[in-house]
Formats: sequence, structure tokens, C-alpha cells
Amino acid sequence: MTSAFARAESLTIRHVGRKRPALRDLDFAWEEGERLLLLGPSGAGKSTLALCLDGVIPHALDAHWESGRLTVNGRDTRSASLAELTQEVGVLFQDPETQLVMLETDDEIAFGLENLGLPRDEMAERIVEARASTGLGPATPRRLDALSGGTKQRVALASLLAMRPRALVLDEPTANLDPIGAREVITAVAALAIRRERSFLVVEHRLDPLLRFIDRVAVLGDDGRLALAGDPETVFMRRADELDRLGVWQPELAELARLLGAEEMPGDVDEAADLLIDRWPRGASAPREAHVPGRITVAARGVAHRYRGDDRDAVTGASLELHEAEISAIVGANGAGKSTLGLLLAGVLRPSRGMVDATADVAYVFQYPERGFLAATVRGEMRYAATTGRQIARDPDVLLERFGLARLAEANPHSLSHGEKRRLSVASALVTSPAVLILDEPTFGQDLRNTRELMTILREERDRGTTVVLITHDLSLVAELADRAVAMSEGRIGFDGTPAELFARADLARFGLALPPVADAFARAGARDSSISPVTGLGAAREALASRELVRL
Amino acid sequence: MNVLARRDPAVKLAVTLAISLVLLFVIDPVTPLLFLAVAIAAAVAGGARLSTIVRALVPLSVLGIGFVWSNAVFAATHEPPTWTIGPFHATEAGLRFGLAIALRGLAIGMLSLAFVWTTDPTDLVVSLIRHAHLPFRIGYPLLAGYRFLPFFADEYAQVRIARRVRGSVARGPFGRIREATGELVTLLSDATRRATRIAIAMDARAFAGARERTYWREAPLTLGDLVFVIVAIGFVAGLLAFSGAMGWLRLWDGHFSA
Repeated sequence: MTSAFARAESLTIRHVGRKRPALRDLDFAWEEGERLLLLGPSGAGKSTLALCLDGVIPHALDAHWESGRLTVNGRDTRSASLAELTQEVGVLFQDPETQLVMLETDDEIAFGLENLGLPRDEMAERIVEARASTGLGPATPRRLDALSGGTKQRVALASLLAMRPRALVLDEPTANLDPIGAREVITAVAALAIRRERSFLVVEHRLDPLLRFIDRVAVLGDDGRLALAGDPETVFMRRADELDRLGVWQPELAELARLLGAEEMPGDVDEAADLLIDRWPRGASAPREAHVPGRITVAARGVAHRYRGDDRDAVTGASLELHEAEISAIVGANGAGKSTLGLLLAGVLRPSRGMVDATADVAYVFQYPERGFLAATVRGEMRYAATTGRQIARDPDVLLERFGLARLAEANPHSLSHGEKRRLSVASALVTSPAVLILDEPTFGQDLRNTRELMTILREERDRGTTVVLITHDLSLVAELADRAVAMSEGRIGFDGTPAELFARADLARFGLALPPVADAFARAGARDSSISPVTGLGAAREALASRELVRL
Repeated sequence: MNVLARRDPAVKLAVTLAISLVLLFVIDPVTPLLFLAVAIAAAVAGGARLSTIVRALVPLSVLGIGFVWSNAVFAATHEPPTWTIGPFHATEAGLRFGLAIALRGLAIGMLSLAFVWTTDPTDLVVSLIRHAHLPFRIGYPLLAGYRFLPFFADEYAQVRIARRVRGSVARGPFGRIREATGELVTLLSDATRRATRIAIAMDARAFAGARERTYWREAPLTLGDLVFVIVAIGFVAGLLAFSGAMGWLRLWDGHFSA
């Protein structure tokens, strides 16, 4: 036996009601004290592994344990008790709303301790300790419903830490947060990881802020098997092609380093800036795409909207013109009014003041697509528009093929995976060939493959002349895809211009935004060496390099 | 914290239920009015603002007027009608009985609100678990569900918007029923997903394995709670005795007629 903290031996787990196993013949070791990054495409079994490690499978959630075994700290998880296992491994889940149980912070932190049967004075001690290590000071509101998403997630983290687990599993802990909330959680996690007091297993796709704290990367393939593993530099710098084929997210900074022909992976944006100063060809900048806006399709003039029962406007004084053949991104913090503005532009909500003129038909794709499902089959969903008297302009079967949904045509829409639901909602919106397509958080919870496919489709739509509007937190997506960025804060449009102009603003934080990694590296390099001009993202960096020779040292 | 908010929630709940039960047997209009006055006084003592109390009384009163009307006009009495309003004949006994029911509803409603306004939901659940043998495996999921309530209203609004955008329209009564069913199914599947996730998160913190569970929140039964119970009994007995002495009190004798 080695010192592995957790070890899976040909582990095969199948969820109830599923044909395919979520994990298949998985052989996997997680060393004591190791900070392990677990990657894999959607549906590769990452969350299933997390649930097995803390004993929820098989002790609380029914699943078919088809073969193999899993040991945690030398104990077989099937014979150890749930209480023992939860003190070995704590799991932080994606959504703060569905992992908080209580109404107040201290009760929440105490919940797990109560289940362990700890005496009250020990709980008091541990609550103080857990609050301190997650930065929950006396100024943190007592009631959980008064907290931001990032702070709620820190409360969830504190309530795990209070149980003093030897290891932590973080299952996409920032996926549901806006950039500021994500940064808040990553800072808290980094502070823990840097002390190396416990083992960490992280499932995440915003990889750049984590690079410094990762000892090893393990990648699960589509089939639930371990596809590759190694130290981050080997995996991200030398086996990137395999990662690409598997469709998993990669750190942008590693991709930038590879573009620059570097061997070593930068550990953070400052190291990436060093690399740029060494290697970036001076004078290289992305050829400015001359974006010529077409005819106006939707115009909003001074619109405001207030939801019933609210005491302030969700959107106020917003004026905006959308054009043909243009991709606009509406960005801002949670609660800034992005979705409300989108719904106003789509004519779904009526403005309380001002007016919206749409000269064309508008389709809207919601963040939670299942809420709009109306038919019993995927094909029925595609043809639904016809039953409401609208014209089906494109062949639904061709679209299903295009979106990789053809084999699911007869399935119930609600039975699809999150990624499939999302694609179905976009496909069914395109069926009428709308002149304006508005998408709320289109990349939320999508893996790299799906995101890339969606980006290709949206570019094609733009080239056909469609007005595309993205409502998003993902500034890397904005950098790659958008012609125009509209930033909101507190219901108002505070900025309207190109993504490059937005990124150049010093007051990004006012919109709850933070520079994406590549733009950040360029900004830092530019601050030290003025001959390096700003670049928004990987796509722009690639274009800038295409015409120039790399400076070889 | 005021004197009512400091009382143990389980004790307070028991007292509220007991008084409500007693009121169910009172069929004259004056006695419930006395209890209503006491309930309002309790709400005020519990820190409720007068405007809040008035706003709560309005819907209860509307309901009450309905009771008065239906009993006054439709109650099975043998008396000749006292008033005639258009085609309706009202009897005095029916009116009195209707008033009794309406005021009884107001009194019980106000007592319940005084309870809700002065009780912290977490304290209530913990106290019920520790003093009223509520299984904690029921109590905590209830609390988790309580957190969801505000989300439901929100989600319902979003489901409606999402369906409207897709072009779902309710035409005619059957269309409306179909639309409502569709909305409900979507809401339920959302709720199920949420509930599953939260159950997993609870078990990931050893909820399923808990045996000798301890509690962070204390729920001590104090001398104050005992005094509260005695005072409450005293009030009920006193009010009933007073009402009886004045000749107002009438108790239900087991017959369904005025």
C-alpha cells in the first residue's frame, strides 16, 4: 500500500435509471495532502466521483455499485459510516442555494456539527475557527438571504471546514457566481490551499486562478474512465491536443504560453506578463475588425422596468440600438438588470417607462431552458413554433443534426442533460429564423466542446445578418465573440462600446467585472512596457501573431 | 426582545392552539370580540405596528363579512325574517351566528399572526424537535423547504414568462387548464431537482447518519414560560367568566342550528 489518501480500483458506478455507467473501471489515486484538479467533459462522472468520496454514494444516494472498490484513508467507503466519511471528505457543491439548509450563518455552520453530535462548547469553538478561515467577520449579515452568492458560498465552505475534514472536494464552486463572487470564493479557497493543511480535489473550468495551487491534473474521458493524468505543466503544455479532443476546458494562460512558443507554464497572470515582455512581438496587435453595423433591428429609448412589489427599478433610463449582423454582449454583476433588459428588448416585459421598437421578430433563449419546454418530445419542441402560427423557416431535422440532438429526437426534453437542454433551446429558437436572437447565459454549465460549437453557430448567425445578444458573466466569451459590449450596473447602462474599450476601463469593478486572464496579462505587461498594446483574448492574440514572427530568445 | 418573542415557541404554539380550540366552542359574537381585543393587545406587545395589524385585519374582515352575509341570509332558523333586502330575508339569530363565526375567525387569525410575528422559524423547529418530539428528520427538511418559498414565487413568474415567449397561450377554459398543468409540471420538476440537491448536500454533512444529534440553538424552558402559560389560562378563564357573568357567553351545545 502507498500513502494514497483515496484510491479507486476499477470502480464502476451507474446511476439509477441510467443505462451507461457514470464511472467506468476507474483506477485513480489521490495522494495525502495532494491538490488535485479533476477535469472532464460534461457527463464524465466528475460529480459522481465527488459523491462517492464523501460517502453520499452509497450511504445516502442510491446508485448501482457495479464493481470495484473505493478506499478513503484506508477504509472501504461501503463499510465505513457516512458520519466517518464526511469527516474525511467535505464537498462544496456548485449552487449555494441548494446546499444551504438553515436560515442564519451560525446555524448553517453548526448543522454538520450537530449531526456529528458534538457538544455545544466545541461547536462554538469550531464556528469561530471556520468563520475566521473563510473571512466571515462580525460584519457579515446574520441572515443568509441577505448575503451575495459569493458570500453564501463562503458560508457553505465554512460549514464544511467546521467538520474538520482531512480533504475537501470543490465541485465547480464558482460556476453559479458572477466574476466578483467567483473571485471572492477563489481567494478563500486559495488561502486554504496555500497552507497545505489538507488534500484538495477541485473540479472547475475557470482554471487560470487555480494554476498556482495545483499539484496534479487528472482527466476523465467521455466514457467515465481516467483518460490522462500528470503534473499541470505536462498536461497543459505538452498534452493539450489530447485535452482538446476530450473537450475539456484549459487554462487560457497555458494556451497563451504555447502560442508564444514557451516551454514553461505561467503560474499566474504576472508570470504570463513576464512571458509577454520576453516574447511578444512589439507592434503586433489584432487587426481591427471593421465592424460595420447594419440596419437597426431593435431600438430601446429610455426604458425602465420595475417588478411588482419592488421598491426600485430593475432597469432604468436604458437607451440602446441593436443592429443587423452584430453580436452584442450585455455584461454586469448579478442583479444589475441584464436579464430584465434582455426581456424588455425581446418585448416579453413591458417597459414601465420609455419604449422599445422592434422592426423584426425576436427569439429569446432562457438560462434555464427547461422552464420553456412545451412539447413531449425533442422533435415536438422543434416544431412547436408551427402550432403557434409562426413560420418554420429551417428544417428542424437539419438543425437537430447540427446541434447533435438527432438521436434524441423522440426523447422527452426534460430527460436531456443540461448541455443538451441548452442546445435544444437554441435550436428550437432558430427554427423560425428569427432576425434577433437573445441568449441568457448561453455558456452556463457547458463544456468546451459545446461552448465552441455554440460560438461557431452564433458567428454563422451573425454572418447571415442576425442580431445576436448575449447576456453573460463570461468576459472571455465576450472577448472571443462579441462585436460590442454593453455594461450595466444598478439598472443603468454604464458603458456601450467594443470589448477592447470596455477592458481598457479602470472602473471595471463598478460593473462587477474583472479582466479575463489573457487581457489581464496583456494589461500588466503593458503597464511595465508601453510597447505592448492591449489584447482582449486568445483569439485576438492568435490573429496578432499570425502576421508576425515570434521574438525568439 | 419583547416578552412574547422570548417565550419558547413550542409553548407559545401550544397556547395559541389551545385558545383557538376553546374559541371554536363559543357561538356568541361578544366573547370572540373580547378575545380579538386580547389578541391585538398581544400582537402590539409582541412589537407589531398598528399599520401591520390593520393591513392583516382587512382580508380577514372581508372573509368575515362573507360569513355574516351567508349565515344571516341562509341560516336554518325557525324565526320570521327580521330584515328584507331585495329578495333576501335575514334573521336576527342568523346574523348573530354569522357575526360570531366571523369574529371568531378574526380572533383566531390575529392570535396566529401574533404567534408568527414573534417567533423565529429556526427557534420554532428546534423547540418542536426538543420539546414536542418532532422527528429532526422532518424538522430540518421543513426548514430547508421554508427557505425555498420565496424562490417559488420567483420561479413561477419565470416559468410563465418562458412559456409565453415560446408561444404558449391559454385559449378558453380547457386551454387555461392545460396551460396551468404545464406550468405546474415544470415547477414541480424544478422543485424536485432542488429538493434532491439539497438532500444530497444535507447528507454530505452527515445528516443521514446522525444518531445522537446535538443542538447549537438552545431551547430552554424557563420560569417565564410557566408564568406565560398560567397568565394565558388566567386570561381565558377570566374572559369566559366575565362574558358569562354579563350574560353574553353562549357555548356550542352540539346542534347545528342557531
